[in-house]
Amino acid sequence: MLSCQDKNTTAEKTNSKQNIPENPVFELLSSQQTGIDFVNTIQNKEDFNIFRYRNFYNGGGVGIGDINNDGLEDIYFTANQGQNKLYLNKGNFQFEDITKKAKVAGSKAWSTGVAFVDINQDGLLDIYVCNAGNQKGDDQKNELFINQGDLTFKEEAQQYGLDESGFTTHAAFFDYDNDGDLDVYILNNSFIPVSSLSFNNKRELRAKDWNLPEDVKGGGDKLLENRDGKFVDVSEKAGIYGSLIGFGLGVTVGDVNHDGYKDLYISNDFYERDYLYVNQGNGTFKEDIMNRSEHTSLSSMGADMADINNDGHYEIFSTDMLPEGDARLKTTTNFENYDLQQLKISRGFYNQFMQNALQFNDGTGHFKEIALFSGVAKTDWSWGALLFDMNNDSYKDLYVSNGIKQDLTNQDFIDFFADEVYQKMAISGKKTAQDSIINIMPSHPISNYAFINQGDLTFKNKTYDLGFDIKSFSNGAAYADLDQDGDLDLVVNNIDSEAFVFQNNSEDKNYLNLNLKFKTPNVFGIGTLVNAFVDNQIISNEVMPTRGFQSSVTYQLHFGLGDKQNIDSLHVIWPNAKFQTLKNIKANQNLNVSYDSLKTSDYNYSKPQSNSKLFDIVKPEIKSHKEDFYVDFDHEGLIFKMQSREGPTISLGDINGDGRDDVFMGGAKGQAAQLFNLKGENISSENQRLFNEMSKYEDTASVFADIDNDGDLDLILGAGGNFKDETKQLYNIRILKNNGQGIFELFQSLPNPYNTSVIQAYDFDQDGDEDLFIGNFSVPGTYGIDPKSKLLENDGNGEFTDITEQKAYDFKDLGMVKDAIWHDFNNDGIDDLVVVGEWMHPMFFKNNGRRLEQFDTNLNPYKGLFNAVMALDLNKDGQKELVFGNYGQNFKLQPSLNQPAKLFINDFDDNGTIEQIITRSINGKDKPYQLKRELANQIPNIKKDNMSYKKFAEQSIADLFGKDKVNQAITKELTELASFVAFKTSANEYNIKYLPQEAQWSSIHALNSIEIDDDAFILAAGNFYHFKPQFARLDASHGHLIGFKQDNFYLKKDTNFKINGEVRSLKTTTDKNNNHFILVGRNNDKPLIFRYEE
Amino acid sequence: MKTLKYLILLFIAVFLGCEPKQNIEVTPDDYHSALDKLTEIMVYDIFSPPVASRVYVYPSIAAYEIVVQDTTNNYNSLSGQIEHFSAIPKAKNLSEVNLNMASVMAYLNVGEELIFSTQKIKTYRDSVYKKWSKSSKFNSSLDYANKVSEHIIEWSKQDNYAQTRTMPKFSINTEDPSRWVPTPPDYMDGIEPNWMKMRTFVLDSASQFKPEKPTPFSIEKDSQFYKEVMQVYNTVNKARELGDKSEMIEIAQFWDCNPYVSTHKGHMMFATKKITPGAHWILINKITSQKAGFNFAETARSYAYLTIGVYEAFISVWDEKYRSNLIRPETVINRYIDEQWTPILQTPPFPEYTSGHSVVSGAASEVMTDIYGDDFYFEDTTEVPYGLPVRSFNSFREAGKEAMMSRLYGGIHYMPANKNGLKQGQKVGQYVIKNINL
Repeated sequence: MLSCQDKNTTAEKTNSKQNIPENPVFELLSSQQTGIDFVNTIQNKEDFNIFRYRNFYNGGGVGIGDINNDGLEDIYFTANQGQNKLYLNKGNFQFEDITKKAKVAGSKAWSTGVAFVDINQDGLLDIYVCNAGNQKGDDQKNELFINQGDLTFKEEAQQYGLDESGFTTHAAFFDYDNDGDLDVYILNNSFIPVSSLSFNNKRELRAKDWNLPEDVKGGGDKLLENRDGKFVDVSEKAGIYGSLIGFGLGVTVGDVNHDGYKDLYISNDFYERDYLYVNQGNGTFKEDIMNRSEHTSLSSMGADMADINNDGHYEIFSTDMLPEGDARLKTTTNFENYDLQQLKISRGFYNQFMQNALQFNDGTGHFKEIALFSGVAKTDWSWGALLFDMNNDSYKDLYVSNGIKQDLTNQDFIDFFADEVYQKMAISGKKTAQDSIINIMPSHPISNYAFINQGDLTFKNKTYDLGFDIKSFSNGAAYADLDQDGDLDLVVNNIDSEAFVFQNNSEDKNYLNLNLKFKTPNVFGIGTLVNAFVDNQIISNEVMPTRGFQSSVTYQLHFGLGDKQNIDSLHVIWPNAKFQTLKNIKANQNLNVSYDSLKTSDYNYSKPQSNSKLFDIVKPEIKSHKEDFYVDFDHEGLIFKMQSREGPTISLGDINGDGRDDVFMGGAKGQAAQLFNLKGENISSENQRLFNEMSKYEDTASVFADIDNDGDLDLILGAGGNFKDETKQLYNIRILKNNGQGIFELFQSLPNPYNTSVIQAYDFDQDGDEDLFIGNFSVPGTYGIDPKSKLLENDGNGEFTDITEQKAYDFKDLGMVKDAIWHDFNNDGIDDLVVVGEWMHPMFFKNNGRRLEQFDTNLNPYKGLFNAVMALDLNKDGQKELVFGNYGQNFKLQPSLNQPAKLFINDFDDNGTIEQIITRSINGKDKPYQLKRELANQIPNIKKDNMSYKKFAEQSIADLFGKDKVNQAITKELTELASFVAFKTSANEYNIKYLPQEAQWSSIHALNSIEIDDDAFILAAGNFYHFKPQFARLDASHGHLIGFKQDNFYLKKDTNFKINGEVRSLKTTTDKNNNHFILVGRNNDKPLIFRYEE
Repeated sequence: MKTLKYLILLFIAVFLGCEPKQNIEVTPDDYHSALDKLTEIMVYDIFSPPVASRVYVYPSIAAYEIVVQDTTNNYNSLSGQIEHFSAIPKAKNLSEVNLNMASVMAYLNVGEELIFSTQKIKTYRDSVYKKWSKSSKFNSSLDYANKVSEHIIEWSKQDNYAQTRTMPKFSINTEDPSRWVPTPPDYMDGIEPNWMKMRTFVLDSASQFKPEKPTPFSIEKDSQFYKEVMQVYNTVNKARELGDKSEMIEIAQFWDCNPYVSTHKGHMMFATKKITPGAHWILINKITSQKAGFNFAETARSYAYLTIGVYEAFISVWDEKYRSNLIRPETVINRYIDEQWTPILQTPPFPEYTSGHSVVSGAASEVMTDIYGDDFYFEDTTEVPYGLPVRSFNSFREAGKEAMMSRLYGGIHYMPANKNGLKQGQKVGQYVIKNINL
């Protein structure tokens, strides 16, 4: 289980600069030892500083490569204001600064990225240096240092057409058109003030067409094609955006869909969304991120692409700036407000959230974002990201370099410090430049992060254990096996402190180092993919030096092999789609492989196999479920999610007695309910007037039942929504009777002033008629206050009476109900009731045929945000298991038994309305999850004596409001957000088994089951998008078919059971011909019918 | 030697132990200085213009009601004039109370309740009280001030301020092109969308002086609305052409009175803070009351009078703002005319019609004309601490008119919001003059 680990995070320990264990895996070597004394010193100048230059604190990069082919990799650092430096590796971690004689210091004012590439194909690595900075008298042209073979270099960028003069962040050399030579993507970052853009989407407007002075344009991104050694701009024709709104900070190359053509991930700082360019194989790219990922990071900086689960497909990791610790979060962070985010989405900027993004590749080049699940979402103000195997266990680990020399977003600086300086200037009459406020911006060096891959798509923060807990402002980083001892060492470029050189001291682990040699015009084999097959795993590595942030890693491929002494087979797939296989490779060696056409054969880049068409998929010819503009947050300022986006409800039943099931789908507010058949044909009859008349109800619950025992199916409807000011009647339970021909008439309308979530019919008192459980979720407009759920008794004619007080008194303890089932959990032949909901544990009510009584089980500690429950005999032992659909583990809140999240509800400011305050447990204190602005908007008086963000960050909820207010509050808890199955072991005890990982990547809102080839499968689907921006979205579910064998769950993946959107209901039925149907109700979308023929 | 030591001890004993009580005079400057302190804290704490008007009015009323206790002033209490305001407690031993002192004390007490950075006011009070504590009337004055403060604070709590915090915020409805939307660079939510639900002092309702409707939204080139948009666009462009020293830009900046102007540089952001429109007028009163040579009671009266006018004006204008919910020029111009265009002043975060500053200036200039007369020259140094120059005016109405025009020059309002706003404010002011007799 992942748990919410928010204790002393590395970012918040400020007492010492270094915190290193004895004999760390990565040993920081001193400059005395290595001779590497490079410091990227940044000094404010009056005409050049963070005010004048947005990227003033972005820092430099690291390039590693063997410039003299002596088998020892050399290191190049870029400096922003100082001189770039080249250090020659003399072995034993001793380096010599040869910058001067090598003539590679560079002549430009501000260097950024670096790429090692053999541009002239003489077998010697040249150095391409990117420049930016926009300083007077400087043309910031990129430089190309051509290796002369005698440890000297000559600058010849212009000769090659590589003297790009934009504000370049980085460049990646790769073969985009598979013509054998190396092209280049140049990532430029324009100078245009972001705030002058007003969220206009000018993605299509190329840099040259902007009506702006040339010196602020900065170029726009470019793709240059190599034509006989000269580089020519082909961006426009290749489909590369070249707008000034793309504030590019990372370019990452790799084949995400395994079609043999290199794709590109461009991470863009704030504003513009990231780009995923999918290579079309015809010299053009298609920017396709909106079809391939549900959301991305917002202020994307560096990124990396690598296979983290050894399945042969690349994941993408991009960095952002979300702090991990509560104090740092509260003092430096302000999330976008909901309205602004909606504006941006409407302008085409897509779903961007402030957090690192880990895009999991589903094998087809489509992604699910799982950074929160994996534990790598929060690394503060981050730059470089590198995925490499730190501990030689065959899985790629994650290193993130971070830190910003001054906290540009320090909230106290924004609201107070800056203005104080301004006031002083105004009073003293000294109109010194605004630059002087720079000096009062707080500065906090922070530790970089390192995460060890657990082999199951989760990572553990091992920053301290590995020896990386050192406070710094770190930017570019690169890895290589500098001492050729079989593990990857790490070099990091820092602002204002010496570069880190870490020697990797991993022991007792096996490895293979691979040196590849391809042929001209790509001698170093950029783009060569090597798959090592070890047991059932594929360890993939690719020669692609440009990685992370402004940096260039080793050309040597490194394979950590864990305890394996042997590689079964090694596939080397050369850039020309020829491959060769090497068998039985011994571990722990440096292996040289040169391309030899005689040893290769054609590699078949087969398109990913389309999944079996297990189902026919039909989109019914009816109107889409459509939500209105209502924004719950406008009415309840402190809630974290909307309660008004719960429909549609779907029910199945043969309403006209023709032997075929029909489908009822409820309407959203302002929309009539609809009927259709299993072929997807609209069968809403004109005579069905009632549905139109009731369109003002938001239908959220429905059930078919023959309530008057006349042989036809009647319909019971529950309403929902979150309109506080709505007339209460619009939440009534409506009892509709079937006239025998499938036309419904209103028989009874029962007051129920709540947001109804579920209605389940059952003859609870065994008197021959269907009674009803009415599950209510919320009191409209007041989240957190428990509504009353009800038991209604049928008088035999379909007239219902509320008998909750008499027969189900224990319902008083029911909270915010989302789902319920009648289920005989005590095997007495009468169905009992199981109820789930938000901020509550599963509730069991024993039915003795006379009344329902609460029944405690060992599931009581499991308090979640449950949306669904189902009973199903998975192990065929005759006893049904209970399946619980929860929020999953890819969510901002990650509570545990020891560190619960809590919801406190009280009138904290005595103004007659309630406030809802969510807290997380940090060091035993309940700290508000809401940031100061959000809380103060509702309760201004929290600012009393907590005016500064720093002070506010220290306060627990009790500190803010006093113990009495907190003790008197209604308090709810979350301890478990994973979805699970409960296997009954005794009368009141269950064994819990968590659903598979992928089912935990999003919320499950609907459950059902289906039999395929005599195997029972759980159908699970969900997603929820309507959170405040700080909670991102739950969007990584496309529906799951979950089987159970040998006591283990497994996912049936090879089918076309794939659902986009937010699923709210799943119903199944089987027709006379044994066709199985799955009906899927989707919020704000059309339903889907999956048909499966046995 | 010994004798000297003895003498020194005696000297100290006399000064510390038996310090003679003094007769301390509390002057209008003590009031002004308390006002300055309150203003400084309000700027620091960041109060939006409507809320700031509330923070000013209750301390001013407390201070005024205390000087009313001196019957020689011949002033009328507001109790009985403001329906929901009951008379403040009487002093038990009036002769023991320095009413001016109690007046400033109550001003600070009530102010402390309404601002956030209470430590700042405590520190200030300590320094003032250190001086005043030498007065024989100090303790009785403080007791009395505390009692009155409690009374005023209780009364202030019933004005719906707390309730309006949790009322619905402004909802963006993207389908109506005329509807206000948040503006660059911060895209802040519309502030105080429920201010019309605040309790008024004299207006019978927030909508009593509802202005005529704004010009119907249209982007047809020959429509009146489009012409008004173009007037803003062209005026600002012209002002830019003329440069920072042009009168238009000077006027715009002088009357900006935006308590929170943010600057964005990439990821960096910070705010520069200034006083609000109401505060600007209240600080003008400091200048003019000094110029008029007002004594303490007259000073207290003028502040109470003016702050009530300003407070009522904000309720009146906010009522209209969230009735018409009109889009700002910046949004219209960026959307239909010139997407690069920015106004001279940062667009404040609430709907356009009518102009808040115009309404407040209308009300304030009427009240001040009532206090000082129509023909009253003054030099307005209010904005000097914020780095802006001095401007002089021959009358309050002249200043009010200039404040109104500043919204056009600043590029944040169409002309009808200014003209109709000024009228609306004048009506509010005249109504206040007519209905309360201080």
